[in-house]
Amino acid sequence: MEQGPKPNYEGLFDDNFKLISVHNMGTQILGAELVIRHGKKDYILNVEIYALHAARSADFEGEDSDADQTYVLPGDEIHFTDLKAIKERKFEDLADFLIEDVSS
Amino acid sequence: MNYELEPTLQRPDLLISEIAPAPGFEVDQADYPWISKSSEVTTSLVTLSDGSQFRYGSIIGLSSSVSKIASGVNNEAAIKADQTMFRALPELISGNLPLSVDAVMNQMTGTNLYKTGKKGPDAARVYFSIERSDKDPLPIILRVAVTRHKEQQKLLGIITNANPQRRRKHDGGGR
Repeated sequence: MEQGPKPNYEGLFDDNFKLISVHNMGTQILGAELVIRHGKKDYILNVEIYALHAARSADFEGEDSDADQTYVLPGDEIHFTDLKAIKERKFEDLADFLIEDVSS
Repeated sequence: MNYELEPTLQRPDLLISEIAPAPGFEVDQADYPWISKSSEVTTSLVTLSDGSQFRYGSIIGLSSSVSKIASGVNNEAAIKADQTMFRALPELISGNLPLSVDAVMNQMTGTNLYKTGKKGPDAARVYFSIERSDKDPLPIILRVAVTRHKEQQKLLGIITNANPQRRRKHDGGGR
């Protein structure tokens, strides 16, 4: 996938909702790794569109992959509104995919 | 057993066919503000089994904070993350983003940072950068950090923190 220009996330991220990394194709976000603060704890969330998730699962096939805790979204890309909905915890099943960060 | 900070490259599982000495590379603190000072790091000329060539070095040891995080990584997990990085390098060097690699948003310097992705909550992540030099047409891969997946928040606070006041807390900088 060509990397191209980076996506624009202006105004979305703050101390309670941080972006670690993205898997992008130009300005299209296909996957992201986020840090979400909830209460006094930080949680890591992996989000991928289905196509990326399926491709990565095939790429890692045969390797010890532990439990897969990726939140998979429909569609061809992750939109700003998807990330905003995650930030606002509008997806009811999101809690099942949060991985507690043990840094602190 | 924890992972050695500067692992040997003499491992066939990394797809390396040849290693040769190469000139050192001057790492600028302006590009990597969390390191204690600008330093020259040793590099090796690496040829992968597909013929891809690059220079390779590590800057993990230039930061005590990053070194400490790396020392907490399980040996087996770190080796798997290294395997993922080396397998991805040919495609990444050619300008494409491999499936197994993500781009890291570095608000601090704008340096192109990448990290390996891996399924599973306990998988390690290797962070690395691709440098270019006017003196050498080959790209220089710098291994920047290795961390447990669950400790990325701490690493993120060190390597992408835009607040210089907080940055000075790392490595005793700003003295």
